[in-house]
Amino acid sequence: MKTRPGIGARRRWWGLVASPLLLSTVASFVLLFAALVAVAQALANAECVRRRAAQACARLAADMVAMQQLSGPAAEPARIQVAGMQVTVAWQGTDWRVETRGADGDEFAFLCARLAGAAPEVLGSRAAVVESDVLDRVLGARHIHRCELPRVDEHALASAVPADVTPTVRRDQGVALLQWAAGTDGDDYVINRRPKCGFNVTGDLLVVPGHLWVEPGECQLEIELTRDLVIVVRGNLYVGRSIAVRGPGRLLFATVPGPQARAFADRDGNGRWSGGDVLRGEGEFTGPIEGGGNVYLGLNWSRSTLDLGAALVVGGELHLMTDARVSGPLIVPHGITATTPGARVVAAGDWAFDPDRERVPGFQTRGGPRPGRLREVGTIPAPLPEQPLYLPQPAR
Amino acid sequence: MKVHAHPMGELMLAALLLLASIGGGLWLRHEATAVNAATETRRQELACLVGLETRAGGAVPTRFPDLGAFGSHYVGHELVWTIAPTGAYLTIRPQR
Repeated sequence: MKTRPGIGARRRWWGLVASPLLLSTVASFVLLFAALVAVAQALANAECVRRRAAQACARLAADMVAMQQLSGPAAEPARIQVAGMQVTVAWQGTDWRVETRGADGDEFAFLCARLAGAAPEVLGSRAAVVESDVLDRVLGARHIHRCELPRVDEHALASAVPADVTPTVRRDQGVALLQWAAGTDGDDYVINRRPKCGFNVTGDLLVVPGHLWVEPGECQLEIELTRDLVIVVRGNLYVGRSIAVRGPGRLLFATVPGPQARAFADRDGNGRWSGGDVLRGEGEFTGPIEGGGNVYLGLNWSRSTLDLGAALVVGGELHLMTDARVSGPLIVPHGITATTPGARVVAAGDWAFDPDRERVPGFQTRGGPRPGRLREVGTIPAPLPEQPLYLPQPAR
Repeated sequence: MKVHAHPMGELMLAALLLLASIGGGLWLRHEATAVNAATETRRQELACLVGLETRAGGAVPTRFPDLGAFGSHYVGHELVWTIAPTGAYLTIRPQR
């Protein structure tokens, strides 16, 4: 009798499965494979955490040695043993290089700048106000004394990049007339109208020798920053639309009253000193009619809410024509005047400086020299061996 | 269908193989569990250390991580919160 092909194949498979040795081999393989996968996962997990721990410990040791060696008037290269880890501090170009070599063979390298001193402490907070009656108008703000306000460093400003030579900022004689009937007495500068721009500034400090305008517009102004930038405005700052900062850099606006200019609360919102306005400071009103050091968030034709993706150090009065949100630290030395009733400002506190270990250009420092924040760098190849300028030639 | 009885030796061998693999698998899983437990301890200490690194306000931390969890060469060392004129920072020191 002939067996049907389907039944024959099934019998062959049954023969394979029915073998106890084969069955146990397959079962053993599956069991061991599953166990090995579990072990491999555990080891990979452990290695990942070990690596992160080694990095954190190396950073800690490097920070410790940097603080000990680079805090003080004289900083010198050093080689120190910390818990089985060798930490080397050496000068490299413009920064200090701190290397760690762990007992496990892990190597990490960090760079840090040497700071002349700490930045103003108040720049590490979300918001700070001097006048107690303003305290409840900025949620989360600190109440500080006037002597704690950040002071600009005139020596640094004197050597900073002037806005006249920056292509992103241009002088505009008519921009003020679009807003105020009488314009302004001082010089007016405008950040370019393009919705996206980058500041190609050689330094990290830009000084505007007049008023700075960010014109109103439908879309926000996007600024590309590869590093931190401080813009010091020797006049008033007029912001008509939202500003967003892209890239790793942070932006800080600081206003300083120009020579002889006075700050005042522009109660009627006409952009000039007039009856009913309140002078900030002592004496009588002098100087340009628009004053100096004032900040206007929102202008005519601005949108309902203005988002300022920067820090703001106000030198005079803060004026609100719209609701505004400030991402970085907000420092208000005088009052807040809402030229549009009900306009509010929110200090979001999205970021702040680390005043003890970060440099904020353009401001006076406090305390002694110290290392800046460590920034980890990839493995940097060893310096090339010195090469003679001229090939040695046999003497004639 | 005709069914053949398996030889006793083959059965014994299969049982032995199965037992050995079960034992080996259990041992491997036990080792993996131990590794995971040590990793978890190290992860917790690491989270504490990272929290300390992002110190704010210079306040003295309430808990310091056990450095011994990060490797045998750290055993006998401790973290100390050092207050300096340039700001508070962490120091690794041999335990006293």
